[in-house]
Amino acid sequence: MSTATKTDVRHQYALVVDTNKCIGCEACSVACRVENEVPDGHWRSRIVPPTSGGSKVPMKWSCMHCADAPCVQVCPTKATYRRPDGIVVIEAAKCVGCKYCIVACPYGARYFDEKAGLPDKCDLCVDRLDAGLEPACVQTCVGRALALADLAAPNDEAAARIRSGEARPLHPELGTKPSVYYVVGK
Amino acid sequence: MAITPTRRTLLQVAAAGTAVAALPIGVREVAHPPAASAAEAPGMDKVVTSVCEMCTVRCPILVRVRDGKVVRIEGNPKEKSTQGAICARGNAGISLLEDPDRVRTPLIRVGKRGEGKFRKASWEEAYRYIADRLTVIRGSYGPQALGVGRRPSAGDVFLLTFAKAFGTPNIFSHESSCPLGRNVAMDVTLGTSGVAIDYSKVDYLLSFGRNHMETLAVPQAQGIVAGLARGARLVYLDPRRTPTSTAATTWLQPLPGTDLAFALAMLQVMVAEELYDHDFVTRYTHGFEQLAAAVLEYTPEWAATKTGIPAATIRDVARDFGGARPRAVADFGWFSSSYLNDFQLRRAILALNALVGNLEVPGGLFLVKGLKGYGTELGDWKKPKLPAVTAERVDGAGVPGRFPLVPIKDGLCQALPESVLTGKPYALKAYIAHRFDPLAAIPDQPRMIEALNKLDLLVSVDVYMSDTGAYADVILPECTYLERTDPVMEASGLAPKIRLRQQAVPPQGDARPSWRIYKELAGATGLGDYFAYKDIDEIVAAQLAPLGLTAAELEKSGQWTPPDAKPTYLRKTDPTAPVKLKTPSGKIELFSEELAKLGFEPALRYMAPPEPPKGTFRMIQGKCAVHTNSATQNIPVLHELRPSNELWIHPVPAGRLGIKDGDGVIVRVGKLEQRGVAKVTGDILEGTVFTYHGWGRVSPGLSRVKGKGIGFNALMPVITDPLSGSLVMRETFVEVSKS
Repeated sequence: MSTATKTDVRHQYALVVDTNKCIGCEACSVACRVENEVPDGHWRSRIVPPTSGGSKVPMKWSCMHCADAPCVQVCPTKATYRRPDGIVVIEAAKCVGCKYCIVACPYGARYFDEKAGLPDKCDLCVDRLDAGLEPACVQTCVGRALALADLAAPNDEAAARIRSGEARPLHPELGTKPSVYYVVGK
Repeated sequence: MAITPTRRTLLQVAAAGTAVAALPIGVREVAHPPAASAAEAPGMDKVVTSVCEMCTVRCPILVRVRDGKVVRIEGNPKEKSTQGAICARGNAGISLLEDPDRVRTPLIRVGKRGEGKFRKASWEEAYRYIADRLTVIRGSYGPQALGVGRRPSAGDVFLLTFAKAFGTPNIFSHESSCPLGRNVAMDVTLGTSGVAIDYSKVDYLLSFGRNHMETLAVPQAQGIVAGLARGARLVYLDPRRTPTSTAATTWLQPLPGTDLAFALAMLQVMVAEELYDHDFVTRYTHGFEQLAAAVLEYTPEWAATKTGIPAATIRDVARDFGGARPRAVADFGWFSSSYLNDFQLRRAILALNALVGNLEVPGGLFLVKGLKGYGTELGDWKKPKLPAVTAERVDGAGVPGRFPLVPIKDGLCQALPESVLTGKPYALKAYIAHRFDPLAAIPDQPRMIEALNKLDLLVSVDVYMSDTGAYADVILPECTYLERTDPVMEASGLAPKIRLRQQAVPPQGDARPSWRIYKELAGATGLGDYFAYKDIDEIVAAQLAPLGLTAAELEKSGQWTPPDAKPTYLRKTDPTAPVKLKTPSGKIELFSEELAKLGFEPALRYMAPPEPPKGTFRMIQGKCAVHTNSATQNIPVLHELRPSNELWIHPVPAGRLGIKDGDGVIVRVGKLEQRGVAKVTGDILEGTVFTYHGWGRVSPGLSRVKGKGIGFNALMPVITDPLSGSLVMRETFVEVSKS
């Protein structure tokens, strides 16, 4: 995988979750938790398990990195913004901890870190990306169900699954244009 | 070795020119926690190649260390069978390492047994305490009055050496509470339990309740998922919806305990319709005629009345399975301490594999190709000849007329209370439990407590104060797998392979590795000659010497295969190639004269599981993906993922009993009861209830998990399969009521 930086517009990142390959083991949840030093009681990413009355497949659930992100729109200090490469991030120095973003997120992807006084969420492991590494969840995935897609790369296999419509966003009707795409159905 | 930078040291590494040249130094998009940038302090990263120990699978890992602290654990990407993946437990190793609940200093009991009241002691005092009592016990009752139990592991050689040097035959593993039935069935049928499945190349995998996606072995799950992605089929039998039923192409819900009927009916169809490999059966099996005769009566129509699965479905599965030969595999499973018919079930499954001729071809079963077959072996440290042990074992393992087929390295771990409380054949007076928790693992908890209370000496060697530990006289704190180097372990598959678990960080507190604990305990007991090594490095060097390999070479990659050893399927190119099996006939024994000679049923035969008395439920248990047996429920991060278990009950009986989702429930067996919370769900059959195993813990040292959830083991009586010695843990029926 190639590298990226803050100002790099050569990349357009998205995450593809192949639910056919996800076994719901939560390896990604814990890898994320340890990698990002997420405080006790909080998770940036979890698995919603299938049940007879609910989802038929396990669903990885984390920040959707929306193109029209409500969290970005409501942030009074512009602490939350979307990088040119598609990753929605929080700049701690600008954040006042008002929690508007937590309320605004229709996917419930944010939590409030009481100790730091800041909201937090998945940032696709930007530090790892910037170092040329895959996000921790992708790296550890037991079923190899997760793939980082680069929509700006012509030959990216995961991006092709998005372009072809095989991988689709969750709740597109919310109109936020999410960047996490799910492959559902065999 | 590849250096994997941590997020906290990216800048350093980048500056050193290793990873990326164009990093914008000093720019951080997400300053979380805010102090993180200040923590870009000096201190070099190191990456230690090692082996996980969060479960028994032992996946290869990379441990990232900074300033003497483990900051991340990842799978070793060089291992093809895991591709850098590790499971939730493997990722949570750091949470075990840093858990404040860990025992970090030797403890000597001051309160009553089970109270969990201990005082800190020096190692010298703890050793002296144990050695003095062992000496008295040996003098009064003989060395055989000591029993030792352990989870088999790379480091258990030290406990075993101590026990053998002491002179006791009473060595136990936890196997009789888990895979022993399967292992004995494999020994009888194939002459070895060193057989594995070539998961990623299987075209048709049939699983009798082997819940691959949840009772997780990463290489297995990954191989199966890859197979499914290229169009392989997975047919899965389980009364409960699990992650494996979700992944499967076909999920069937048989009545618990009737899988054997399903397997026998498949055999009947395959024989009747000649859906088997004639050449293979002739060349490599023994007793096909008896098998054909034995399964004649087991038609799909008959099996439908037992399993609740339509005859047409059973027939379809048999035809598809037979038609997919030789890349069809019936998984022989793992946990097989369920029913009295478990041994027969495993034999029937092995027969299914024999009929499709899948032995030693890609996508089939293969014999593990170890170092020995390659003409070499790991060395050992020099020690005097171990004393001959003459006393008979308390559990009858390996003894004619008792449990002749049970390997003496395993024995019957459930024999402890019987021996202690009845004195038959004689009483164990001392017990050392090493990373093994009989109180949590073995049924009939009240009787086990009575036995533990009656012991003259109980020692627990563990990272936690386990349930058994709370009853111990002495707890010796073993350090975690991240804090110690273990002896080299074999991890062979289609080719020989060894792996090294390496110390990544110094032991916390006063915790010590087992190579040191038993060396020092032996010294205090007058058995020091058997442990005449300096340290683990000397042991590793002695092990590697015959291979012409140095520790430094192995440390780099963490694993090693002889350079000219290739993955080998004996029958890949020549389907008639010889395959040596260590059975009496040298072939796969579909009928076993050996069993007949020992007084057991030599042919395949149906044994019906008992029917639940009116008003009771069949009770089944399973494992979840984020916990290992009863070992991990207290680890902070894993505890947070799944802090307790619930009683799964179907809406129909729940409605009848007035139980709503989330209600408190009482689960009763006779006078014993456990309390928990109901999960009312259509994901389980009506007459069956389910819980995850590992809860209902009693140790005050397990601060998070103590008192949470339902411990079904506590309610069960000890039932032992007279053939395999395995515990039988699904033939107990429970009453359920709202609390």
